[in-house]
Amino acid sequence: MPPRRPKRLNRAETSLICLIQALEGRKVVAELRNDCVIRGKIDSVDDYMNITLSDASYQTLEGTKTEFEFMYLKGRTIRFVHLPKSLDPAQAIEAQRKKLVEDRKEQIKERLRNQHHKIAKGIGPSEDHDSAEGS
Amino acid sequence: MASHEEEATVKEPLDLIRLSLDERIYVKLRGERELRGKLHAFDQHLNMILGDVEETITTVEIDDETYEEIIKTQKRNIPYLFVRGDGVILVSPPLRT
Repeated sequence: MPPRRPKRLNRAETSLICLIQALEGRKVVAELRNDCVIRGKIDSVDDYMNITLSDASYQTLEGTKTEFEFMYLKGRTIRFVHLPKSLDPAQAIEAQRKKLVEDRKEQIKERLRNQHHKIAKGIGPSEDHDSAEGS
Repeated sequence: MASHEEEATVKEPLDLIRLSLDERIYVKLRGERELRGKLHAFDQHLNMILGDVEETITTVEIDDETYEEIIKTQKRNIPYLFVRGDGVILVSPPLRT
């Protein structure tokens, strides 16, 4: 059976946010709309560009620098993200897409495994009330 | 756009930006900022990836005594930049000045 495409591509896949997601684990510099500069390692990025960073520093325009071990940055406040020069956007986005496909496959496998489990135990598949994803 | 399909027809305004891919462009941002750089990628929100960017920040100061407007510009260069689309006002081929 050919691999099924998701009926609705999620918000991140249809925009350049997947490039920021491809930067997970790397140190970046982000410039905010209030002219502050954040330097830190990206832990995770969500579909709205909200970023969690670790070992981050927050520097205001005046120069006061504050260090945080963990920071949650709201996507709306970001003006720029300085990218490493060595980054190839096409490659990074392809790698991110492959990762998302792998994750989705894993999720479907997990769901099927749970269903088989329930059938084996004698609980009907109609009792599976887990929320279906994106269909 | 980030997709690989090439279409020669211009159907919507974003297609005009697509014609400028890999070209140098001029971007006007909110907050009296301008960027000039090479457009590597963009999306429907106008999030963009620009290379070899020159950012110009324009400030107008008014002298207290003479009340004249002093227009100051600050420039800086950034090798590779991701611009969040909600700050973009307009995109254009670079102005010949």
